[in-house]
Amino acid sequence: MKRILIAEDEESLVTALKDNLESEGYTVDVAFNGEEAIEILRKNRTSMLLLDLLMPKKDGFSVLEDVKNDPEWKLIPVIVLSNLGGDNDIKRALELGADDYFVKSQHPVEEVIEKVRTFMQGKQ
Amino acid sequence: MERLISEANYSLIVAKQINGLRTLTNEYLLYRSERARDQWWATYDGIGRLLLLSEYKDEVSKSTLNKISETYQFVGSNFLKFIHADTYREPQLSGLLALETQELISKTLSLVNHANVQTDYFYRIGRYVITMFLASLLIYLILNIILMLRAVLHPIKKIITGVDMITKGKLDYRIQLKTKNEFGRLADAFNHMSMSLQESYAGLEKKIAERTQELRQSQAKDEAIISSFTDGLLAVNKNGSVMIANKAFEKLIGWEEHELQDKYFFEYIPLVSELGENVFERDYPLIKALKGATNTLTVVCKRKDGTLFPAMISAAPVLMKKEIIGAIAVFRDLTKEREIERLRTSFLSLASHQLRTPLSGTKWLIETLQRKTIGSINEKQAKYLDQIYSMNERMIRLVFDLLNVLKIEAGVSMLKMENIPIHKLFSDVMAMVLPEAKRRNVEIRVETQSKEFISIESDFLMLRTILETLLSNAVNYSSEGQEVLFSAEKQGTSILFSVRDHGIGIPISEQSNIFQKFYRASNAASFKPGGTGLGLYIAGMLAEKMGGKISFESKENEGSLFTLHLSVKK
Repeated sequence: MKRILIAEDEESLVTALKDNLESEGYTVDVAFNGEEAIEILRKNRTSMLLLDLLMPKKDGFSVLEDVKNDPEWKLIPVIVLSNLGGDNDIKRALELGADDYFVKSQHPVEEVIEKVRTFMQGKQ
Repeated sequence: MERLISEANYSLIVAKQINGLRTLTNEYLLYRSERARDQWWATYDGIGRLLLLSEYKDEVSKSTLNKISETYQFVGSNFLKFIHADTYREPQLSGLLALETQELISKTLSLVNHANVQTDYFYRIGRYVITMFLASLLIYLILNIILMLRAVLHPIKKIITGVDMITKGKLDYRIQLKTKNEFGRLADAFNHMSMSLQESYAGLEKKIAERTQELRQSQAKDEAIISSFTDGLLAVNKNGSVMIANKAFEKLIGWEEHELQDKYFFEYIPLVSELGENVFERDYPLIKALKGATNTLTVVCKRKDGTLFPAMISAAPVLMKKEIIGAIAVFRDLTKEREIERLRTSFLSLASHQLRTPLSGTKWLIETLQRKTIGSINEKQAKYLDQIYSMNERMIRLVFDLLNVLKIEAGVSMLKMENIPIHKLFSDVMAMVLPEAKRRNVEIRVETQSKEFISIESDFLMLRTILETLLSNAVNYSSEGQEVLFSAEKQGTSILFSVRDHGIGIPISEQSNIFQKFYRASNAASFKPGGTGLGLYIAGMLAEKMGGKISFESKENEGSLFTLHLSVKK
């Protein structure tokens, strides 16, 4: 079962992503902040992480760090989905181990779905 | 004999000789000796010579002398006759002649004495008178000279005293000389001169006092300006020794002016580059300024206590008659500015994020609907969704453009040079523009001299943005079925990116406005080109920032050709 975790505090985005991913056949978990994200990672065996950066309680950078420093979680591909378009932010995310970075407002959801498919296929 | 009598009274000598002759006559009469006779004639001749002497002639009057000579001649002739008579034994005659001779001799003698007395008398009176006259003349002259000297020396002395006093500075001294001659006039003139000297001096002193006051005020003003100057000011002489360090500088650096005075500035104000490397002495702004170059450097300075702060140092040489006599530098503390920049950048970042978030939400929601992920939609619904989506995209672009404009105007965007493969550049740009082109049924043809150059060194984002704008515009202003040509070529030291369309073009009257914010040409209104109206403004600004420019040719209804010129540093 391919479980994808979406960590995103913006509801509209969650709705869109979830519906599109589920129609592809993936199981989707949702976390609305960084803390919830870590909890779900502990609970469920996750195959992919779609991670927003600006979230309450614990931000995406922090979650990314935790994931990539964990022996088990670091194998999970992480796609950062953020509206932070600054070079520094992108650089920082990639340095922390993100596998890709999308500036949401600049990419159609189609592209994200496409990317997810690629990573999931790669895993096999 | 004549020498002996040179100083003597000749009359006395003649008298004496005649006396001698008388004695000799008596002697001859008595003894009738030959010796006496010879002596008599010698004496007689001598007297005769004497009488002829000019000196004697000077002593007696002419008439007297004639008488004497006459008488004397008779003496001689009588004596001769006597001797004759005596020789021829005529006693009566000889006796008479002898007597006559004696008488004549006496007469001569008395004449001589008389003359002598006369001459002597006159001589003595004359001598006395002359002497007295000369003496009195001399005295008169001497007195006169003394008086004259006094008349001259006294005023001269007074004048010299006057000059001396004036020289010593006593300008109120006046010469007291009231004589009615040239000296008096000189003294008057001198006094007038002293007076005007005194006046002008007083006037000058007043002017000097005023001027000194002015200078002091001016200096005080300069000092006030320098000390109130909020940026640090450092002035050094041509050797780099510190001359002036104002209060702001002291506060900034921590060193006090007196600690720096006359010291070589380089040893007290170390600079490091913003990356932490030491700055070479030759690159210090003041060192460059001392060599004649006005320059600015953004750098990090070290304070007296070792702490660092960012600063902008502007230095310039100080010239006097084209010679460098020193240099002056302004130190501006950039800490606050940097802080403000940081705040602004973070604000812009946050603002952009906050605006994009809802827009990206709507974007994906609409897309999800369009993809029919959650159910099918009919044609009409699809059309509505298209329009909603289009509006949403516009807003996203507007936010993007607005934030770009803010960044550009804040001067925040810095060039990030990197090696860009041309094919990546083109593919990115095409990816952005193709969807719209497909929708409008406009074809894009790409032409690159890929053999000539494969990559370019530039700021990727900026270059991409410009090209996207130009290409997007070309597509948007073309009509259905038209073609847009997108090309790049190298020309010498420049690279030219060109976008050519055959669309509606830009009316000539409006061509000078197209790079303005939100400008839309009048003929575009009906065209519904989409876009934000900021595209060309941003593209123009970015091109400028990159050191390039955008040129264009356009003709209404025939199309436009936009070219981005970039120079390559190779």
